[in-house]
Amino acid sequence: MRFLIRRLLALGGVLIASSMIVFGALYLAPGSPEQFLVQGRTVSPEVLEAIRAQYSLDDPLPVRYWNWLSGLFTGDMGRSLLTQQDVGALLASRIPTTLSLAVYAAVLIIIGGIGLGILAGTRGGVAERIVIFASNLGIAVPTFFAALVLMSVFSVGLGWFPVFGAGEGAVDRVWHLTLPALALSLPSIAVIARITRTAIVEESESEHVLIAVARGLPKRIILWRHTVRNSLLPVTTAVGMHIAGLVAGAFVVEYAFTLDGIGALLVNSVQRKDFAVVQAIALIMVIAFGVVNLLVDLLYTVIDPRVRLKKGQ
Amino acid sequence: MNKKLISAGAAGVLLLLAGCSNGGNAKAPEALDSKDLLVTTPAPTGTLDRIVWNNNFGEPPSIDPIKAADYPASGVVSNLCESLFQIQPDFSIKPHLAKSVKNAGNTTYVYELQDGVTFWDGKPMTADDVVFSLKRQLDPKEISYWASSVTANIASVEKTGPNEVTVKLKTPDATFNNNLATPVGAVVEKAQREKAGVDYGNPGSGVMCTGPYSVASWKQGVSITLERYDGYWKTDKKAKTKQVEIQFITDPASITNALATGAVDGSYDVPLSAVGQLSKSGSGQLFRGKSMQNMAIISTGTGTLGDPAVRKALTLATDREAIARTVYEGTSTAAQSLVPAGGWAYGAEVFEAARKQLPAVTPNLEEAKRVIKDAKVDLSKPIKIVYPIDRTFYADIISEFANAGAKLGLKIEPSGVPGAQFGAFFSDPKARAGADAFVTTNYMNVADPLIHLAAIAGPGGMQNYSGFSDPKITGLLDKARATTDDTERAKLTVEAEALIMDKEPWLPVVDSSTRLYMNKRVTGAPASFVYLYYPWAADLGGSGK
Repeated sequence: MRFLIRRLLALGGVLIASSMIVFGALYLAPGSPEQFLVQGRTVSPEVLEAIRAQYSLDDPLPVRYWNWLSGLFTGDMGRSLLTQQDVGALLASRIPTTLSLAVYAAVLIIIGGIGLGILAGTRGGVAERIVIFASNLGIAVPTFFAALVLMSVFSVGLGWFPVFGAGEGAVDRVWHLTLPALALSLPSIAVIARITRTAIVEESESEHVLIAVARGLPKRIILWRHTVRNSLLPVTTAVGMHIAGLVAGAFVVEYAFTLDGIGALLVNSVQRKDFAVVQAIALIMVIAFGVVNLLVDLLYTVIDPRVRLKKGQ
Repeated sequence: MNKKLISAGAAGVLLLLAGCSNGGNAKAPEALDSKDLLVTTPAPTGTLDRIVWNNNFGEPPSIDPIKAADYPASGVVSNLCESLFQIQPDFSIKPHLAKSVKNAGNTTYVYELQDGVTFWDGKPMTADDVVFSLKRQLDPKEISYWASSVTANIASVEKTGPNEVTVKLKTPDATFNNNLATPVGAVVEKAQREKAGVDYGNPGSGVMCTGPYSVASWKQGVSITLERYDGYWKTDKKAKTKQVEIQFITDPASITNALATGAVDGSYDVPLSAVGQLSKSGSGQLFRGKSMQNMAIISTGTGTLGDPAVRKALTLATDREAIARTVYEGTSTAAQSLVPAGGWAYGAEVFEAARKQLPAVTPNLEEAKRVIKDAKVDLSKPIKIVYPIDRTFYADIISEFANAGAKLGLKIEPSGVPGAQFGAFFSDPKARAGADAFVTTNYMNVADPLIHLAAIAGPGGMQNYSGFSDPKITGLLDKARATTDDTERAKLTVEAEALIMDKEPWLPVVDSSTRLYMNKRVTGAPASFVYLYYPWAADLGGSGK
């Protein structure tokens, strides 16, 4: 419990530090927000001034940051410069899409990555070679390209899946998000499959497994209790890292499949220096990263009880 | 994007994709003749319940008409909010919410308003609404992106009768009423504007206008659905389709796929990379319409390209017909002037005759070599031309210029910058520092060459990025603006045009056509470039197929 509290406090510290860095970086980045707003039109100087005044763009950096931070504690995330909308409302409609995409991709990574890794690590032969070859391909193919190929084959060619949109309702959503989740998770599945396979191969040659074999334990018990469970520790770390990165990496797929997620919104907002939106999304991403990592650490203690003993010391 | 990937790929998966999405653009299409360009598409034979469209440039940040100053917003708002005047598919401009206009002296316009116009909430449009709407342009707090030298020239806006509004200008401007066909003349309901406060124009509060469509729903990041306004005042132009859902897909490959599969019924200005596939598609038709868009290279007025002789020589030497044929897949023609061919709503004879006097577009290296001898700058300094890096076709265009430049001893360097950063080149002089030139795909708001040329080459013009100023040209432009007779004004304008094209503040590259794709089940949308200010969706209906 104490461990949990300590971790949550640390996450809070990370949030404040990262929000400062993001805010400062955006402040220092070239270009002024009001110029991006008018998109190349020469409007009168009075109008530009009115924009600067409305969004307090002329205040010094610490004042602006403080205004934003104090607003945050009263539940006010500010107003988008671009859409003149409350950021809370703007994000509320978009978070579910990115979240369901990330969860879907995470499930695919866990089932697909670990499953294929176990298959390759335990069966050997043709299965192993196929998995290794496929994972090489999976690692090499960038996400945006996987998205293009999947769309060309399964949406345009075969017509099995829609070409854009996130869908409404549970079933429709799963149908709409299948290709995006697959494109997003493909490189991760490939990496996890390789790590799992290596871990299993190493573990199955370790002393305790060889002893278990020598003792004549049933094959299934050797495989699941001695080999797979022990090899899961490095795999869990890797899976955690990959899942935590999904929210941040989602923008490529969101763009290709025209999903209304926060990744696509973030890119757009960074480019236009839409401070309030960038800050809010950056916070969400840091939180997602922190929470997933926390879950992974908690999972360690389940997989390997020795981890808990060490923490208790 | 696809082309590059395919040339890089060796694996079988890549070849599979090649077969799917890049069906043969091996041989360059035939040259386009601007006379073959369409104005309209076949009239619909029936009504439809629902059409899905795509706004290729993305989601409107706001639907407040005075903030609709670029493709994403204008393409949607044109169906919602109407102005005192309206541009027609043939580019003519007609009184619209204004029934008629009377000149009282050359700086005073008296507008009689249309009877029976109602907002979507059923309330009648009044002279007070019109005065309020026009005055929004003058109030800096309203943050109008249309506030410019045109609106700064307004001295007063007053209600002078129950159904009459009078506008007084500071100096004569014969183009003022043409400007009122853009959102400069847009009319919104005063009461709703005041009630909405800071949320005006955003998905929460929206707007209250008089157009043939109202907003049924706006799912942010996804789509906006327009609903026919059954009380629309112009009964013969009532929308033929009950609902039009406008998607915001911006990825070129996704747009192509959505159109090819029929998931989306149509779209204006489909990506160049889609032209090959869509023109052979069996599910619909690609139309090439009359356009007011063109592509040019804007000189910043500094560096080697700051010398008019260098600009002229470079244009003369470059094979812009080849650019139109290959880079634009035959959807463009080489540009003779900075005024796109056919971009006029008056004085057509004058403007057409003037074309014959302008230099031909066929490359002429000898002449170029002769012209560059007049250059007074150091020709060995490299010329840096900036383009948005996500639009790779610009790199192809610049490389054609670089080839031609090499023959003249000029060194041309393309320089790609991120898309959003590129926007700053148009508005922020600091961003332009260090660059010789930057590319633009430009459009005329209304088909008035005088407005366009004054914006490019007049002092303080909206698109005068180099501080270009020539007393003779400025004199002609001012004189033209004060001339009410159309033909006389056209004559003064072409005189200015000839002088401007001799200096080339911008290097003309190509005149575009409007690339409209419609699924075979829908028809009727104007083929010409009016979708930014004309309610195109109201013309869409069923084809019976």
